[in-house]
Amino acid sequence: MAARDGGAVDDVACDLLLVSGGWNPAVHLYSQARGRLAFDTSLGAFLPTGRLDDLLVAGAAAGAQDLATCLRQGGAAAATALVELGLDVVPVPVPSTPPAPPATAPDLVWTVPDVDGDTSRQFVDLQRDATVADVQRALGAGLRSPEHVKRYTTIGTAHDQGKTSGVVTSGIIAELLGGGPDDVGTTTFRPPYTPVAFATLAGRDRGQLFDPVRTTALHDWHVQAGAVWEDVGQWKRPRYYPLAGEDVETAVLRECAAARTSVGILDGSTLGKIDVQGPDAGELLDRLYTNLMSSLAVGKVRYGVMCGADGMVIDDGTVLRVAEDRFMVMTTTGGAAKVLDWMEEWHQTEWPELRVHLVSVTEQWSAFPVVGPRSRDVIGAVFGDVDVSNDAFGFMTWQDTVLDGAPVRLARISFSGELAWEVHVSSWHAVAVWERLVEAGRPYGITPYGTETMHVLRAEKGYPIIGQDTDGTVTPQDLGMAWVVSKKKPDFVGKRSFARADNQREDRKHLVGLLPVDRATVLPEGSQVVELGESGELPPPPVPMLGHVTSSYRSAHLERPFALALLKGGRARAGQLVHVPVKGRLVAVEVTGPVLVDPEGARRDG
Amino acid sequence: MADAAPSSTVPLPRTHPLDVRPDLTEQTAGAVVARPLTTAVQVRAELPGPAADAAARVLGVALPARPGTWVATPGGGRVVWLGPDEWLVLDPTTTPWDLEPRLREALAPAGGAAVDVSAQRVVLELSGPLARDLLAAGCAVDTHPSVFPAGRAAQTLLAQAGVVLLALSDDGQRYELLVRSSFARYLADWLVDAATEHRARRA
Repeated sequence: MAARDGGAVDDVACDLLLVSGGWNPAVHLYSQARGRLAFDTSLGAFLPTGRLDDLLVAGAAAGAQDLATCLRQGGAAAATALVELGLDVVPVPVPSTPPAPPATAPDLVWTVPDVDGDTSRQFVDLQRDATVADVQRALGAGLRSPEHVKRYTTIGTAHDQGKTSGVVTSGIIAELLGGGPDDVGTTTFRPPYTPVAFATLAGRDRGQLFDPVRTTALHDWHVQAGAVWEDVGQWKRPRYYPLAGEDVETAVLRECAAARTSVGILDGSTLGKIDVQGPDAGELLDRLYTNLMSSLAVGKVRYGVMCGADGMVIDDGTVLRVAEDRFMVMTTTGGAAKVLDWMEEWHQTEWPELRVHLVSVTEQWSAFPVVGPRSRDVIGAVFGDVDVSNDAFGFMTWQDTVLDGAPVRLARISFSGELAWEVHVSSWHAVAVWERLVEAGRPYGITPYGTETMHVLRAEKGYPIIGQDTDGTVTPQDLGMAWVVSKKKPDFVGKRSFARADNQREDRKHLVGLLPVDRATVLPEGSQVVELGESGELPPPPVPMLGHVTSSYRSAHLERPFALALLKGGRARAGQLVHVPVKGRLVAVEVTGPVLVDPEGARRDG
Repeated sequence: MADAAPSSTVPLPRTHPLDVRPDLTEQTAGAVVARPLTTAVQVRAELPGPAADAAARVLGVALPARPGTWVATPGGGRVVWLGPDEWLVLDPTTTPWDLEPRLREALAPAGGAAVDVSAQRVVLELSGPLARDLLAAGCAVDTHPSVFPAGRAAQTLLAQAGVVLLALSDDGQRYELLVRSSFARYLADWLVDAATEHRARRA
């Protein structure tokens, strides 16, 4: 530090240095309305030069520096505007204001001389790292206008668009050229002007209100049950329900075991749900899903996959045919809004001739999977009028019933491979139906489980989660689901792309299972998969990456950790050993098919 | 949905997403009241057209054609314009399993659709001198009665929640807010926060 007029230099240690490029009111709207700005030396700022046809300037924008003046000018401008609009002026008393602090004339300092005369360390635009030296170079190249200097130096082109550097640049140019800022002027302010919102400085969107928390109808039940939460978009979903002393691993192993050996229950209400109605409902779904939906009989359920025009999977879920002209489409939780938009876009822009209507019913319906070998006992006990035998209530069918006046829909859908029912009910009655199910399940130790257990159970069956096991570059065939792609339908979104050479390569990444040979390591999700050379060593860098781990868990049923991965030519590698680097060591893993539990599907009928 | 009429004498209990905010009205200086669960059906129809005519016969009033409006039904319900071929029917006097099949049976043969969305949204009533002030704290719609009188409706954001806002009176003192059920608690908490200064003034 040194005095501006010279003298001794002191070093001062500091943690933070605050710098200022001067202050100028936000006069952009005035300038954009073609008002002329003039430099006011008493303020050191560019100010409007008077009113325009439809534009009055008041307060800080007009250079007012104290509250009383701002209030007075604001009131006067408002009164003028009202009179000119032909409206009555209702006098509003101007609140009294504390005395303004004494004003001091600004000291206009555009540059502080560097002790070493090095202008390349005198920063003008702190975002672009542009310095006084850059301005000097621009002027040396013959540029004069701040517009040209801006483009030469990039000053004022970063995040704040010159809010902190614009005026000081004009000042520096004036100083270097010998003149005043008024001679130089400013760059032209172009719309849009993005103000710093008051909310940024002092808003109420903080704490609990920072981002909306979406809750299901069962939220309070989950709270009471001690759920640990997972944020899924804006939804709060129970991740697991620890008992006293349990950590996540123990709790999830317990929940998984309950679903595989007795019965568990999940709040699946966040799943997206779309009501599709009209004589062409089946036709619309045929064009958007890879498989045939119009052939589904009323009373039945079918799993479907949707792809983008590029043939890559964008969503999946089950579809219930509710009536000849009505389907209920279930989407992933994260895909709910996106899939409805997607369906509407195709319907409205490409196929407006289809007689079909789409309505979101995500929050209308609560949905609870009741899962496990004892689920039949629980469903049978709560819904006494429903024959829950396999013969009367087959897999992938649904039936309606009424529980004490409330309509309920039961569907035999399984995301775990176990015998399971999804219970669909109006969210009005969600708590009551859930409580009945839990009560009826008590003799079997019914276990509420969260998203973590749901993920493990489905991964053990090789069911992908779209967005976790896929990343927008994965086809249904890559997932091993060629069976879900119709060969009969003349066309559907994505069909043509499946014929592209790149989508037919043998060495595309396939979804496979991985079993760590040590039966102990839980591979971190996202880990790369590599292959050792013939020497038994890693090849020299860059080591070819064969794919990555997409899901990884400990399995209660397998009594070992397992993972799903996208692996180059993965299906042909079944039985091979590959390696996954984990914290500096290579873990040997065996490549398997993605279905690790009950590959023959014997469990789904109980 | 099953058209089986409720048979039990003890109906299955219902829960309201805002049951857990019993002091909402007090905390908003009297301005906000959570309305009871209300039957609501979304109606799709081409207008003009036979499905719209069928809807009008069931509801006793024509579907409003003008964007951003709602009309009352003779039975004390409302029909809210949501889009060129989309309306929301609110009817506190009937049940979802009565209204949806009645509308669907009338509309479907004429190319329209009707979907029970009763549990999809929660209805809040805003009233009194603070109503507009609370709305202004988080809503960009001009609610001045000169431009937003009784019969107007807007689909907009209040804070960070999508809402349907209905003006019920010409004096800027009565509104209804429809919010997605999953956002109801967020919005209630936001309204309580927005009422902080009024609460303080009352005290």
